[in-house]
Amino acid sequence: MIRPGPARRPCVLVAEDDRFIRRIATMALERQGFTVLTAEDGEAALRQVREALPDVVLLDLIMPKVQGFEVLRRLKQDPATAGVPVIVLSSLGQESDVQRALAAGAAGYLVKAERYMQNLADELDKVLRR
Amino acid sequence: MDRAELLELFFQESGERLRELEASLLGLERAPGDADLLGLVFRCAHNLKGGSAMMGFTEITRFTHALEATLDQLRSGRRPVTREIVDTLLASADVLQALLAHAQRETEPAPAERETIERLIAVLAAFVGAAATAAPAPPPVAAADAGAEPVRYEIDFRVAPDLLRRGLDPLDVIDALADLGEVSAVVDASALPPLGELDPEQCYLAWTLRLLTRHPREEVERCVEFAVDPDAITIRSVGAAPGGGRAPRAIADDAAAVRVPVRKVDQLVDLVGELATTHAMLAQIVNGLAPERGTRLHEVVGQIDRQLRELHEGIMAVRMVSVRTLFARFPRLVRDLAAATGKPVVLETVGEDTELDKTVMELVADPLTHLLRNAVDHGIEPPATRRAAGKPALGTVRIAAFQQGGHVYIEVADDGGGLDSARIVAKAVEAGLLAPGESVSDDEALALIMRPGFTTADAVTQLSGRGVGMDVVRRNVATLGGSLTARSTPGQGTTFRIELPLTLAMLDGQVLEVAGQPLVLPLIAITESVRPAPGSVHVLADRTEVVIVRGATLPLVRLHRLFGQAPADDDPTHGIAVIVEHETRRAALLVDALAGQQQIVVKSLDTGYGRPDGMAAATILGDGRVALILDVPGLMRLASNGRRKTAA
Repeated sequence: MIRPGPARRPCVLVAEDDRFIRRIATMALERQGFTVLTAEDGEAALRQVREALPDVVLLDLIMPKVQGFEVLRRLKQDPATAGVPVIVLSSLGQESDVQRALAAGAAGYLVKAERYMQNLADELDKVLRR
Repeated sequence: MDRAELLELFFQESGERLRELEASLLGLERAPGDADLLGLVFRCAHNLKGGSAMMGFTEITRFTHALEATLDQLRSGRRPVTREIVDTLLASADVLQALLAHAQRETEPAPAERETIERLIAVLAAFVGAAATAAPAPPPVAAADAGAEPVRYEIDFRVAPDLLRRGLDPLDVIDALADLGEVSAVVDASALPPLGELDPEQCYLAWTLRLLTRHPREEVERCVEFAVDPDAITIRSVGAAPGGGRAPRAIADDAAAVRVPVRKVDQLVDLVGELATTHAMLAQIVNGLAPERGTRLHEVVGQIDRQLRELHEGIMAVRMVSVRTLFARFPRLVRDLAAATGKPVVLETVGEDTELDKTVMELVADPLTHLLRNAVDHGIEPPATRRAAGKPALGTVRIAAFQQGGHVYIEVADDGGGLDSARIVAKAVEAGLLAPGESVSDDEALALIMRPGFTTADAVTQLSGRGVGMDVVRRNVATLGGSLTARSTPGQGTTFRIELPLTLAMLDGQVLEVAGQPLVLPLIAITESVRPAPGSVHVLADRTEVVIVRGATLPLVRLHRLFGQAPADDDPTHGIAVIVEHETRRAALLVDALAGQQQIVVKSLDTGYGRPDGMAAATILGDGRVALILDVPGLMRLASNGRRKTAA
């Protein structure tokens, strides 16, 4: 697991096709001292992870081009990216998807609901300090 | 980022998503099998659900959840896309729009609305339920793969040491995989500790499993995922090259543009306005200085003036948006209108990239809706009539936008029967708008349909034709400083043209003095200013005052009377007649004096004033005085109303 060094701002990739959620997440994360990269579809997410090797990925499961599950699978299968923890973003009522994502190697999950930003902060703390 | 900003962002994005949803649904109606469109529709609903859940709009979340479930059925191919379903989905989009509007205004849906919402949720739920209880057809992917070549997978299976303690067994995975095809396993025992240190409740083994199967990859994944807990399991299809040949795309679009709330841009516009006012004050002070002292200052003030104009143009350019999003809502409108009238009609859109001030665009949406409604309802003939006239049964309505000079034009044209001048005149006489026997030109006849109380519709239909139509359209357009004209060819159709200013927030103004008060006229409306010659002002039989300027007889409007003020001097030959023009009509406005031109920052009048006729807005002048900005179309109206009233 790549841990952020003391001198370096930890880097997070937000892979999410919804501009609204991408913006919120970006702002919240930047405020917490993260360097934020964004990807608006699965293809861009895969490329960004390979190129930038972020410390953590926030991954929406439903995205254009390459679906979230497939992104997760490919990341976990590639030795170069398998170590990057992935937090899955899911909507309400998709508990089965969450289970499936965790089984496929997701380090955590977040439900898009109220208190999202607080939950996001908690989840990141958990994953990055593991 | 506070909640207010989040909300603004949310509503902005949701509005766009909703339009996208609607456009994709209309596309889906034409191409029911389009998987890309289905995916797009699904993601729109999904994202609306996610966003609304984050903002705590539970009602929207609940509705989008039902919608999403239905769309999932369509997306997965479990149910076909039918016209009926598209209708339900379009109705759902309407409900979402209403729910978003309620959320934004912080209001609650009315009981009737709530009924519609619940009914739609029930329809959507029934749809999903029906699909679930119907024989669960195998997913199309699996069906397609049934006869496929077997694929060899290599599965790295490394489990957490405490797997056994959690009641899980790695053998379950191997058993499950064996159901799918041939399995062979290679055990990796390298992590096995010396016997003395071995904890019998821990799992030290790892496996490389090889599977040869015809089953789709998803099923393989499912076996592995559900049999064990989150452990490092990787699946490779051996020999296949997943993800090969993907072309790198340009930098993420996000980097190329910033999205800014309109409110922030408006603050800048306001600030530029204040700056223009301050500059006008400065200019006035500098102009008052003795020339030998102020030369350099004059230069600098002139420079500021130029830069200010550039700044103004720049900031206004930021407010310009393409009419694409506005036009995007019309295909749906025309579709519904066509369905309601039983006339097949197709909408053509032209010039979607034409840009318009955002405020102007929002305000022009209603008039355009009205014109489109009229075009389908009154313009396009019933199919039988069209066929009899040798025209295609399918009617065409065309909406086109283009820019020319300082104006943007939007035209709504139909290829229908055209307006019948004789019939219009007859109706106008009937409605008391025209005296019997009064003759009018074709242009004047067309102008008649924009008069209050006019309608040619034989029956008041469900859609339009209540006699408040074109008058309201014209008034709304005039509020924007624009104008509405019509031209029509019998048997070939009618075109309505809206002319709009590029922007609203600032204009070049002529300051007038009337009874010691400053008033402002938009410079663009003025053709010339003259001092009436003695004997050039006459009172007609209907008590209208006219002034003769170079042979033309123009109605004379004494502005001080309009505003109930005592004139500084009652003799028109001591004043100035400012000739204004609007839509080919001219009038002379009598003022005491002209007081220079300046850039005027338009401050809209508080709605509490109810926008008195003849006044468009207010401004603050360079000398700090507040001045009203005159509304030329309104003044024209007042002038002609006055004549009709006194004539009657």
